[in-house]
Amino acid sequence: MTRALWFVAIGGVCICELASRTLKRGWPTAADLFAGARSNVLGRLVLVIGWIWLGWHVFAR
Amino acid sequence: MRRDEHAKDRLLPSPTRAVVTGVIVVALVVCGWFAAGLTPLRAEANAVTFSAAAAILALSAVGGHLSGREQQMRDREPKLAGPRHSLGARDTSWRPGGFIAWSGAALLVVAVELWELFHSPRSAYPTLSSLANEVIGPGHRPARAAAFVCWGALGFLVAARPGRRS
Repeated sequence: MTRALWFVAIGGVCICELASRTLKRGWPTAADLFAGARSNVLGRLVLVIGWIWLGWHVFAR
Repeated sequence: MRRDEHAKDRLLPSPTRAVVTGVIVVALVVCGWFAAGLTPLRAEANAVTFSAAAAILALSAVGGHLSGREQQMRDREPKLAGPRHSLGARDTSWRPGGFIAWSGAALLVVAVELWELFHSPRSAYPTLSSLANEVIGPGHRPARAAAFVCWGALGFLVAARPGRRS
């Protein structure tokens, strides 16, 4: 049952990505959001900290 | 081709660049295989993970420095050609609807994660981590090593200074 919740949540993300690729105008793709975050120092810092945390969480914890 | 146009401006010639990239990929795969064999929650696993992260960030900084110098060299040369127009470029003027949809999707993922996190048993209420553990957990060395390589590649992408688009 709770795995179905994950399918819904991941499905929502996939629908957003598909909509952004279909509608194009004004809908950012995940890559656009990522590029937007990378375009300034604070965004890059947050991404780098998140990336280090991910590595620590998956491989060291 | 833009790639060919700027090839001559690169501080590292193409063969050297390919060798450096190859060495980094091989080092990442070897490090990933080694890291995947370590037991989590021990000092060795921490040391390998943080050392790899530090090396990736340092290499990314060096790469960003070289790219910046290449960009400066390109900026100095006279512009003989007219402005470049990218074909099929996306409309980058974002509208609220897209952001609301993305925010809703992200909130849904966070809500499900928190719901699972505060319920037990974990087998019935899996979090993202426990789902990932089924695929790249300590018992699955090849998949874990591949995940480490992907994580390392993501690090290069995340830490690199974004290039200017003309």
